[in-house]
Amino acid sequence: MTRLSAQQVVAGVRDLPTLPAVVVELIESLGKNDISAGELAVKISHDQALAAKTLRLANSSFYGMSRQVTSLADATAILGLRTVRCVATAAGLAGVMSIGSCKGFDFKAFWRHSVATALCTRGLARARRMDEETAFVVGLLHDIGRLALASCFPAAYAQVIAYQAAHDCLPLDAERFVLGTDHAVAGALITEHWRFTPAIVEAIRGHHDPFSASDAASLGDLVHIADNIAHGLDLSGTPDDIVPPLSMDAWLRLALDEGECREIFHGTESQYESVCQALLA
Amino acid sequence: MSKIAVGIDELAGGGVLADPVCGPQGQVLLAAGTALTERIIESLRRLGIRTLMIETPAVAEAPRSAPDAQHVHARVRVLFRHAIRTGVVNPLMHFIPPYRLGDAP
Repeated sequence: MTRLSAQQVVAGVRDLPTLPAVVVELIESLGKNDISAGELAVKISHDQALAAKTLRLANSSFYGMSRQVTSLADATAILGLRTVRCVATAAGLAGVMSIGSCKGFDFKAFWRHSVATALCTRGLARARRMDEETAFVVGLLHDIGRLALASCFPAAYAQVIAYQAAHDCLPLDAERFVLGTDHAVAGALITEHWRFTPAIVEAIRGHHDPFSASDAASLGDLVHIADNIAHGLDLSGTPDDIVPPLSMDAWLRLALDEGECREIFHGTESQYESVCQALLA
Repeated sequence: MSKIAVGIDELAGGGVLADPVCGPQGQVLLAAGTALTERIIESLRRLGIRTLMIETPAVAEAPRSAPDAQHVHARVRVLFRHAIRTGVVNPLMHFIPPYRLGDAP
């Protein structure tokens, strides 16, 4: 048992690699509409690895282009500013966080589940006319606390994985029992540290216990249900995957019928492989 | 990418648009690459559209063998084992098998 204090977790998160300046600027501009296409293309082009990934994602069937997108200016003109910003943010984050060595931690499965949840959160946001761009980013990052804990405390997190395997329990419960904290708390700390908007931080903190201030669905509700769907559709490719408990409050606020669910399932699965390839290559 | 013309009534299995669908004034209604859902197909039918250009891989995949019901149900019971053990209701557990098996909702 390796109890981690809140201070240890905060200190660990601070030691994680810093995000490239471009990605920080993109995160800060999420939800703002006063950035121009030219500025955005210039920002992205400062990081050529990011530019290449953005173009690859823009060319994946995620965005269903019938012709090749060859420049960032093209990508912005065709896909729109908001989409390019979302794609670049996702590509930038995926690039930075592919780090760490923790026994038993399956990085590939981690990112595959994150991509599935991102697509599904976006689909739910579209169905409920909420911000799709923010939804995609929250879905992609909802479990980032797992990666942060595994990167900062590899030996302790290896115990979590071993405990979970031995007792076939929920990852969240294994983390709380072994570490005294969990990936939702760590995820909120790291996204706060990276200066994501409070709405994103709270959605990540609450993704296993979503909350809404009103009768309407919150961003936390979307990512909670999307996480359940991504596990339920078996998209991470892990034999012992387990669907976490569903919050009936969140389910009722979202009010999905079976037909809508099927559209979301299909939408997620039809884009899944190409986005995994574009983002994780 | 190769494409073929498919009658709208033959699209029950879905498919991906190879060309954009344009309205009477030439405005783009659906972009190329759109995955056709039942709902989209129905609205296109209401607009009087009879034939669509579809990417061939989606059509080639259509007659693949049906998933095995026993396997689908067994896997869902494994994935949803926490809900089953604790008795917590999860509607997704009821929606996923018929979706996987292509049953009518």
